[in-house]
Amino acid sequence: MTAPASAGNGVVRRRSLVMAEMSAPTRRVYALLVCIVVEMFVFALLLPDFWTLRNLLNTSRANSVLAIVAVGVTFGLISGAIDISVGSVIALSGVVAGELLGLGLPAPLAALGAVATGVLVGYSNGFFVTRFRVHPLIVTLGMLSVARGLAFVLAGGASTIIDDDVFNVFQNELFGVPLPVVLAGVVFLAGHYVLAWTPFGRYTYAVGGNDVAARFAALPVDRLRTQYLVISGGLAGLAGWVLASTVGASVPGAARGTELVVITAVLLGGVGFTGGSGHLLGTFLGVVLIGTMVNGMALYGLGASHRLIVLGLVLIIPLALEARKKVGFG
Amino acid sequence: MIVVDSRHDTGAVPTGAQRALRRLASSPTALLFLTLLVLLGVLGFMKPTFRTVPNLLSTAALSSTTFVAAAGFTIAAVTRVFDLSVGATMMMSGVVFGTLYQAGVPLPLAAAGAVLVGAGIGSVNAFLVTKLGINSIIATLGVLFVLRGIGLEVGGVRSTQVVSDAFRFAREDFLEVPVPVWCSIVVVITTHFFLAFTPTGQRLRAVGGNPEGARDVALNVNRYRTIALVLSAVLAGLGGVILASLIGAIDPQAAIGREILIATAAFLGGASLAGGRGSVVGTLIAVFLLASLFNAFVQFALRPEWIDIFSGAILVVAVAINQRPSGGFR
Repeated sequence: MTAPASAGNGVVRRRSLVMAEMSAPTRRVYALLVCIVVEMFVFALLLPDFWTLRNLLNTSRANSVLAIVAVGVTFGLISGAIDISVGSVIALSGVVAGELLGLGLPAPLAALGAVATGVLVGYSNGFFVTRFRVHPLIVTLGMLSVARGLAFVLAGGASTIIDDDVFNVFQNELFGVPLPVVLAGVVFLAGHYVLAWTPFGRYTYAVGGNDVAARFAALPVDRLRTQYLVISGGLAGLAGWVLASTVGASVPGAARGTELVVITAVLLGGVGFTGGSGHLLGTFLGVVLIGTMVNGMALYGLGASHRLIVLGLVLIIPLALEARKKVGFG
Repeated sequence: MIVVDSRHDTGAVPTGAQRALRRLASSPTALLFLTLLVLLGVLGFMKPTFRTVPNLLSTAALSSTTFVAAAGFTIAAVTRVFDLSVGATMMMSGVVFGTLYQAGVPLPLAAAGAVLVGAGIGSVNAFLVTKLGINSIIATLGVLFVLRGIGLEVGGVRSTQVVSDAFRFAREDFLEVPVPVWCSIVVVITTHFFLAFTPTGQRLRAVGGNPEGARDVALNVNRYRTIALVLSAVLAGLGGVILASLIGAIDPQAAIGREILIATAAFLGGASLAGGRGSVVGTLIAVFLLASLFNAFVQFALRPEWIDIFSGAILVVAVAINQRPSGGFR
């Protein structure tokens, strides 16, 4: 796909002509590919079990929730609205689904309830952002607390086992591939189609890149912003169902801190923090890189402490490298 | 213990009740102070145990660590840099404080060393933001991860008791008032004086409110951002020392998630993501307001998760009200 926005900022130190002709997001894609290959190679050398089909499938299954949420967060971030409420929304929608099942509703309705919860949260985020002009970071920071609190209140503070084969459909496999992975793939492809090929998707870049110009071009900026946040919330709701379904329980404390991992992956994939740039291919590679890293480190016996340190460095270093180029010219 | 900001003192303009009311409505600090008074009044009326002096003092003492760090966060927010690493910095300096003290270093030196570690962390943040040009929210988020990882690696999840009355100085009273409250008073006076009345403080405000304009009048923007980030981390370091003393232990899990509470207080107190605004006095009132609310939840034996719901909702509503005059997020 063609890379948007930052192409105008085409001042690049002349290291090689091929690199110079690429736009920043395209360069990022190649850099990420190289990193992923190196990463896989290192893990394959260190861990005999790493390069087995079973481990790769396990890694993908473990990261499918992250992947689904990352698609929504990418929509939001490109349109200039960072959504950090997703972790709590995952938990809340899982709890809502669990409660609906507890009331005796059929599984499809409970699953729908999970997604609807996410949509509702996304809509209220959008409402506060567009009506009251509160910065999305603050709105979703507030929602992070509110949704988490609601999850605990609804669940009465405890997890509930979900014993429903239809609801727990994501414990199954399709031709040997875990269903969550299939769903994550579908979400990514659909998201990429919408973002890259439909006007609705392309408007994210207009709204996030220059909202004044977007208004002059008669785009309904407020409505679009709300809709992108609804996508973000709705996909978090879907991820909540997937998580509750794979775990077989609704857990009010689930997915704590997921928002930070998701945002790290999305930023790593080349989506700009201030909006208007990036694409889902980058996000996909970011998720693969981080997901593989977390899994590989766990297999190697490294604990939470090392994971945190690496996550922090992974967040900072690419931006530092990119910024150095700009500083060199400024 | 609450110092009313004299610039917002409505009594100073006795030109009709209407005008006074309008001024009051446009001053976030005064509005917040009124809210606090109403809240304290209602709570004190409903629960006699709430309005006792010891209860109010202990609320103030327990929230003082949050305030000391939040004062730093406010200074940074005024300069339009946002320090999400404050919670982790508190933990780090607390760990250093306890470790040094147990190794036989005299108490004042151990405390100084801990605050110095804070200054070091602030310098790293400043380097990432000013030299590498990384957005301060992302840079300090990365530092937050790294610090938490280091804390977990060095100290594990268990805290170590430091059995010493000298180390637990923050549990003592001075003139019937707990030592942490005295610390808060000193910090609020010095930081408010610094921000409002010194040339450096006014330049911080200028740099935050309009970086381009500040650059045009030959202010070294990056220098003031560095000052703000270092001050923020130094105050977080001080807060960490008081916290360690209150806990009476080396706790590598201390202050987890405290950055959310601190940011909530600062934004509630009038700070803005657009920079240039914010008051340490407002932050102090906000911290005390949130602390009283939590205290009330305990007194009324409500489920603690309601705290999350309330603080999130308060944050969004308060920012929505605070930024009405200036327009806010487009």
